[in-house]
Amino acid sequence: MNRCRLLLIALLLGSPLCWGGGDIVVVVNPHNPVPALSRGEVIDLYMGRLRQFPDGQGVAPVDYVAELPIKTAFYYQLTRRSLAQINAYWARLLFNGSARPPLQAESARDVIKAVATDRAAIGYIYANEVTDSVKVVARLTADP
Amino acid sequence: MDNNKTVDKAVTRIAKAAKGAALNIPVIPQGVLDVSRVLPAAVSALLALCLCFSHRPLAADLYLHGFGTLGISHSDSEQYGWRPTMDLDGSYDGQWEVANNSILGLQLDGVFNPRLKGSLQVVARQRQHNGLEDVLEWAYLGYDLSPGLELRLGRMGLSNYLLSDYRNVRFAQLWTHPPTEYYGQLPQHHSDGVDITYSHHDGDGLWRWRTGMGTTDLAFYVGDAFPGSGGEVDSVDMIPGYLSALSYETQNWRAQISVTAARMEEDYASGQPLRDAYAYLESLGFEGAADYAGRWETRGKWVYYGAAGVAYDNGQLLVQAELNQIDSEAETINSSVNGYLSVGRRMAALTLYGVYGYAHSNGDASRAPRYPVPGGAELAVVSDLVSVTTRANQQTLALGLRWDLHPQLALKGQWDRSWVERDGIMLFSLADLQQPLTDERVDTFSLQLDFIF
Repeated sequence: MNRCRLLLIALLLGSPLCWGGGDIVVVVNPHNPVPALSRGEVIDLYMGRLRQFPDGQGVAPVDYVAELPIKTAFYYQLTRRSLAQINAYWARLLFNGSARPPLQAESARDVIKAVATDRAAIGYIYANEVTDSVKVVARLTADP
Repeated sequence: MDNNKTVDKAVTRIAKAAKGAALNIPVIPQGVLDVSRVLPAAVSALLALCLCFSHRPLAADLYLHGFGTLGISHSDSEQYGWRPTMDLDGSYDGQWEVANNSILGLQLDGVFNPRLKGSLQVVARQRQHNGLEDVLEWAYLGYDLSPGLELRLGRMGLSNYLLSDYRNVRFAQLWTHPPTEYYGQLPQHHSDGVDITYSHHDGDGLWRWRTGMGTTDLAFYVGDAFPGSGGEVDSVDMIPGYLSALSYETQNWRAQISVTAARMEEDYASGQPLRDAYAYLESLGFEGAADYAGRWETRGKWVYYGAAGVAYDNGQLLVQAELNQIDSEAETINSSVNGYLSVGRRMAALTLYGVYGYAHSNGDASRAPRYPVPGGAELAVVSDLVSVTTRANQQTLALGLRWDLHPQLALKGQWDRSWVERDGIMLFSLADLQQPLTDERVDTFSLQLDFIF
């Protein structure tokens, strides 16, 4: 019974309230000349409105599969929207032919690998997962 | 005597059509469907489907996505049948309607090289025919001529209204169905042709300008008794259709204006008995009869659509409104002004919303002349009826709740209260055209699960 109640409360509240892991950083390939990205640029890059970096080169966003908490946290920090809202938004773009959603990675390791090998790639990971093979261009601070 | 018989015969055929025989769509009698048992099973099955699929490529640069709706609705009128668009038969009091509210779509996207891509979308939904040509919603190739400039060729979604190219994707919409006053008058789902899109990000938002031309068809439900209509739905090709749409989108705002012009290439077959009857009256010496019948001719006539829409969504507050004006050279497609306003408030996974819809045809419904021949009065009655079934004068106030059960699954319930005026009933089907029409208030309740995968 308690489990049912908890499930009901979780469904009613939605998922954006439950995450952890600290700050999230947006990373690009070290050879990418872009020094930093504004919050607005990151939003537009991940919401399909901006298809190029500020210097004009093409962009290939890398995302996570839906099950990972970092994805929920990233979009909530960035847009104050739940994954259901983000998916509804992307459903519009995808099914009206405007854009295709970012490719989805299974883990931070996959994101780092994709960004490290593709000059056009952009991804996001927790700040404590940054390695020398990627360059940080934006930081989203976790809510207190 | 023979002349009278001919007019009588025409009237009889028309009156037969007026009986409005029911379309053979699956209708579940009240009490047979146990929603409390079906709903949990459906939620479980759809959750499993959502979890099985994600945005992973099927193969290198080949992606499969899908969307769907499992819905049911109930309307309380015995005379006016509620329907999402005018190419469908409606549902009446005592019926739980499933087919009109359920959709399944699959989309295959291919990226063949950095500049060339293609999309194929098939959609199963309630329609008269479900052959490959009918279920194929999209099949086009897109080529990037330069960054921000794309050329598309093939079958594509329409872009004239905010929702027109994804209105089957109910998960991407707040409501159980797009506002009927606006989208019920747009039975067209795609266009075969070519378009070009220019996109430009100005630093704050994305500008997009699309222009193109193509062929589409304009269909409406007429019942299954009209001789020569080919079945329950009658349609005409619209060639060529020209569209130009300009939109601007930021994180919270989206706005679009568009103009569309389309020429109808043929007359509706279902109007032929009326045209024949009046042509015959003209030959009997009743001057002006043929001119009167000219109102049902559509061949070579143009229809113009002007539309503007704006949407605001800051994550908690959702406001959306659209307004259009339709100008037509043919009375069958009545000139009208239509619009809606929707306001929603999101609270965690729940969104409560209200919608007001308005449709108003210009001028008054025509009144046919009463010719002093046997059957003349009946012919006039049927003509007057056709006139009011090509006009839309109604308003709807809707309240609804969307519950996001899962990032890819939403449960929605919506109650629509529509006030239908007897001189503009186009957006509803009629159970019995022999009954005198009255102004009526119609309540419709819809419950559905929307999902993407």
